[in-house]
Amino acid sequence: MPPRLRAHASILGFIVVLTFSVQATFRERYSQERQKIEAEGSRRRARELASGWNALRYTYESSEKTTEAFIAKIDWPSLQLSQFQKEKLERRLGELLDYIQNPTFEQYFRLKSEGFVYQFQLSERSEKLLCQTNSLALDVVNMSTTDLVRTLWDSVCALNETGMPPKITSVCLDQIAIVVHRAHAAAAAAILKNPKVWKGFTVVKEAIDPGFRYRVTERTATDDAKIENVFVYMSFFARSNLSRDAGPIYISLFWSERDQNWALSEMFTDILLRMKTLF
Amino acid sequence: MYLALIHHIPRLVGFILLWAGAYKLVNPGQATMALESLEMPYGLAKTIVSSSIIVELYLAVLLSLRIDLKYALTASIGLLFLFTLYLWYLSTLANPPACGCLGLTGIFNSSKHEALFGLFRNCVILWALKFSYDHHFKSSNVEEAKPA
Repeated sequence: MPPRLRAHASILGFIVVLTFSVQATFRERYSQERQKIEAEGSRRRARELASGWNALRYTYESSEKTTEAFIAKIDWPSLQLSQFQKEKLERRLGELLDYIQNPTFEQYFRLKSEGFVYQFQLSERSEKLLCQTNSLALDVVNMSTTDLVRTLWDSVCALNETGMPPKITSVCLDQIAIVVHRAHAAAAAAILKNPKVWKGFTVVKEAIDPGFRYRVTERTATDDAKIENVFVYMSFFARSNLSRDAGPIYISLFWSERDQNWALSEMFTDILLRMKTLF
Repeated sequence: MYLALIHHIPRLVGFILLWAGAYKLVNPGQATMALESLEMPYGLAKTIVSSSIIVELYLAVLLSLRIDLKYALTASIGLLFLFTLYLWYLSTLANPPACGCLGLTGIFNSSKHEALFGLFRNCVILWALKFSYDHHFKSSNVEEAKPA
């Protein structure tokens, strides 16, 4: 081998050995670096999203005016619902918007129960929450639904920074999306997959479902698969009293045929809003 | 002064490549993840980063010690040109990933500005290498071509 080529081969060989040795030694460090970059990337992306959301125009009117303006912004003719369902939805949305701006337990319980035939069984998350908080000694079996939900309400409120129920302080009226979705099975979290209401999120937080069950007849799973459920999916940007950042809120309601009214189904908020609540 | 600077360009670029290679050897995360964010499989991204580290360090040694300078300068221009093309592609993206080169990431708030800065930096180095190549080899070629 010519000496010139040998010199190049020696340099290259030394560098290859050095590189692989360092890589083998630093394997643990590489994995830590990767985690750090991923965390930093998520934080950075969240800040980018938040700055875009914060730049939107928000209304700071009284809750009644905000509710009125919100309902007026909805493109009602585009919703493929019967006139009766639309009237019910308009009233329901009014009550719901009033509630999320000034939440009280009484109003929440009324929204969930008034005019509905329901069964109540503590959901898994609710049970876990009650176990984590003070309520291990509760006589869950003998408590009335109202007392149980109130205990849960207090436990969830205590998780918030203020110890109070979180409220919406302002809403962006320019970015309200609402669609009707028909599905044969209960479409859990399907709202987050619907492109018409999609607004993105940094980390999504699901409001806790205490355990209200509205479809409690003799229907079997096969019947459930056949019956078409009507959902209304809605999303908008808002600010909460617990955060300086704005974020998206996703709400779904479903049409209870037996009760002839819209029942609260699910609520998802962005973690930036720091809202821990029941829905 | 100008001539002295031109004369030492290979060594300067050698140190830059040495720093870039060593930095990527210790912190390969950003460079690898930048390639992965362009939908490249992890294995391939890791192989490309390892190869670029080896090539950078190899050329750094050649340039710093002025071994086969003509070949080293040409290969460095080729390598820098490839990196510049990659940075140009990144700078066209709306939200480009940090490329992880030279450890200069983080001096800008926007990753797009980082990519544009990297593009500008690479162009400066490319011009410097071209001047250095001309200084070392074009003048000697002209002298060789002159009749005795």
